[in-house]
Amino acid sequence: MDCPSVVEFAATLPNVVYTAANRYTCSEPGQQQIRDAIREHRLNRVVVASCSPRMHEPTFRATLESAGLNPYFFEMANLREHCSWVHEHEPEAATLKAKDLVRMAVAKAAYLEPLEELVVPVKQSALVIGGGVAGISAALDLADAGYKVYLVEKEASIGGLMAQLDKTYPTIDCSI
Amino acid sequence: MGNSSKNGAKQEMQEAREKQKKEERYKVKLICMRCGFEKTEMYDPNADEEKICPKCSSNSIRIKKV
Amino acid sequence: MADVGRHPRIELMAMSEVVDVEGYIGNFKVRIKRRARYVREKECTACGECAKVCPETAPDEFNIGLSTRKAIYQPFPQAVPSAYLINIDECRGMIACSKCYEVCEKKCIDFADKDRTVEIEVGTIIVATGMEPFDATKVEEYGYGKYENVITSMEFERLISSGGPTGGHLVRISDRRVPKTVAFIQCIGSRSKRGETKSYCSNICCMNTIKDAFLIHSHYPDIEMKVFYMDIRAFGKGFEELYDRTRKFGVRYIRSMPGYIEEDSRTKDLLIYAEDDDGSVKVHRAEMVVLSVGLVPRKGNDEVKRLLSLSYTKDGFFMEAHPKLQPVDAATKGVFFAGCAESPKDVKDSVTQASAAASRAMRLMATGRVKVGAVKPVVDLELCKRCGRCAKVCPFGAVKWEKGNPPAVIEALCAGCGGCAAECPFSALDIRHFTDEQILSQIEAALIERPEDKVVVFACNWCSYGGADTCGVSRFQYPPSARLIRTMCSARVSPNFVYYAFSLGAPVVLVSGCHFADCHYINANRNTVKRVQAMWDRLEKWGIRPQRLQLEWISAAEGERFARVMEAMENIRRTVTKEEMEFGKGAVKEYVEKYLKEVRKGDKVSVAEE
Repeated sequence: MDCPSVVEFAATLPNVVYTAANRYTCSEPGQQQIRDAIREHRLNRVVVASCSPRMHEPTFRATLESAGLNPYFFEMANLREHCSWVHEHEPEAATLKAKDLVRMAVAKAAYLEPLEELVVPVKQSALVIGGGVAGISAALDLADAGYKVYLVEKEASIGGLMAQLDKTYPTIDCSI
Repeated sequence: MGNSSKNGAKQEMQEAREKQKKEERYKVKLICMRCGFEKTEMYDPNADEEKICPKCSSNSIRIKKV
Repeated sequence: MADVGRHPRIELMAMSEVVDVEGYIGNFKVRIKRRARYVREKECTACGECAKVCPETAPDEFNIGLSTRKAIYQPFPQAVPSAYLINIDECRGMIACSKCYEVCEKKCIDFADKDRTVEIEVGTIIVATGMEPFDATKVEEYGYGKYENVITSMEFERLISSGGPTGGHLVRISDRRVPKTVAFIQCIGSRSKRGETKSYCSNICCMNTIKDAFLIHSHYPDIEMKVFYMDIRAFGKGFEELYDRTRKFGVRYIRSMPGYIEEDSRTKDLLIYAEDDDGSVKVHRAEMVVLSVGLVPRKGNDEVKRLLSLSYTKDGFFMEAHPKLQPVDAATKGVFFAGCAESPKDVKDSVTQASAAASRAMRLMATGRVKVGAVKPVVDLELCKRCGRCAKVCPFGAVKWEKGNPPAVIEALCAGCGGCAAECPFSALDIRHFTDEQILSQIEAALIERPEDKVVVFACNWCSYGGADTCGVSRFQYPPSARLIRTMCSARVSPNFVYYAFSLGAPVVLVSGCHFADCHYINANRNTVKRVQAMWDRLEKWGIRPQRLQLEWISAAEGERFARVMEAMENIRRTVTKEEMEFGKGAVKEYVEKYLKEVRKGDKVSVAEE
């Protein structure tokens, strides 16, 4: 895939005032470059064309926030998982597709609105369903940390399958 | 969440309604929008089943009442 | 275990089941059914006098039926809570018998005890429902259930346990004699696609057998042992060392899965027919056979899955929010997994995961507040015709509607699928961050140049978009015609988006989402199906070939399937002629123009309700 031509193309798109190529955008220097660009060019929308938003959307939202921009002013174009990695033998078609993906992300970015996340309180108690070794351990950890725990067990005793074991590996010691 | 009902009576009513719904089966033609495979069968709109083409494994199955 | 019983902050509810869950992260209302115990738990001292006089006996579940217990009993001596209970179906009752009642000094036996339901409020939920051993009767060739001296690894545990029915003497069921030879057969119910066996590795059985061999050797150094296996997976810390030690003291590991077992009817010994290294079938005689059973998902999980809107992975265990980055989180926020509910694992891994789950839950509770997203509906009150269709399709009951009124949204309950926005026939309802205008702008950008070369693909965030990511990571190649537009759920895809794409000359449009069982919004994608069916009808009416609209379910794990679907889309694209595309543009023109006019004048506001 011809990355420089994608960057060149991006610069021609409506509303785009600044473009930059970067090898590791998600790294700290990469994020700093975004923060600097936001300040220097007074950007109000950011598009990163790199990997999957399922991976790094939270990373870049935080970058925007730390630069004083609403985190929802961010959009991602997935050029790695959805383009360069799946069209390895068709570099020209992949480059065309990459341009489209960037164009789509920029188009959406123009319509992005600032959003506030809804915040709700969290009750200071936990329910643990199942009183086997996992449920017991989780309940004790939570209760020792100071939280109220309800441990619900279907059978008449906790212990689960573990209680039926004589000894357990790797220590060959008693299970209960 | 909260799918279960609060009391027995309500649950019974719901069950009765669901049972009635369940009996609403009708004949349909299933047509695969990918490969064209067709088959006619009794269709239960409440079955909550994923449709899949036995020939090409597509989920583009059009359901037409006949 | 005992720590749980006496911890001041743990309320232990045994014989109890969750029957209803309402609410959302940080604020769950849970109803728990507590079954009658008929013995007052707090007062009972577990002295056992009651059981001595009880006339009724039943097979002891704890010892897997290898011994008996009374109708009033304690499940096992170290049980917590440390109290007796009555199995009322086995009990003769207060009037006919009442022997236990008379002998109980504490007078804590209560025949009037009833099932009751309690309601609690919690901020977080940990699902630790465990697993169950594979049912060995389903592997018929080894004769479990038919030959007395073929037992499962669970039964072995009870036989070798000093607290077990034989006091720790490993004896054959047929003649109560210590066997001279014991054979283990591995992978019972695991790593096979035959019948009801599972295709996955159950993780614990290799090491469990090695441990069993160790126990036998320390109790009975003269017993000869053979282990039939396909691979020994001793991958954990200290595991290989144990494996080595058992080999050194003479356990024979034979890489071969026996074809079948026959019983010598006179001695009740077992004849194991197994292929040798050279391909010939050899018969091995053993006085006892232990079937090393795998672990399968617990049947009762279905109810928990439904109540908490969880999903399963293909193997039937609970699915985590992300296999690497959120391995103990459920897709339902505020819910976490610990132990074998998520996948088969040993005690150490269960404890490790339990600590992780507890820590993830504490992270929420310690902050005391949690963000629940910003992707929520907004409504144009002028365009809204008060029809209430948005409320009907909400899987979470987050959209409230009363006749004559516009909808009101309980934002904390809303998970942001956007199904309500796609359902609105008047374009009055929209969903933030995936608004009509935002998605239309993406469609337009995708089709602005050479639309005839493109396939417009709507992909849901959780599954099909994830499937495309997996496809990329695995480097499965596919034709470069696809242009993906991400929505949170396939239910967000409004028919208007599809018609708009056709109006711009798109040859093919694909709507894709999660498989039914995986839908991250309970069942929102059922509405996707309904809409696609309606679209096919409409396209046909307009004279547009309905095949140009496709529907596929692709899970986040199905990278290869994603590539195959993209190939199929490309094949359909090649069949769409220039004339067809032009005709389609014209056929939807009027409809789309009207829609665009409506959607673009809208002024949408929050309709949040506390």
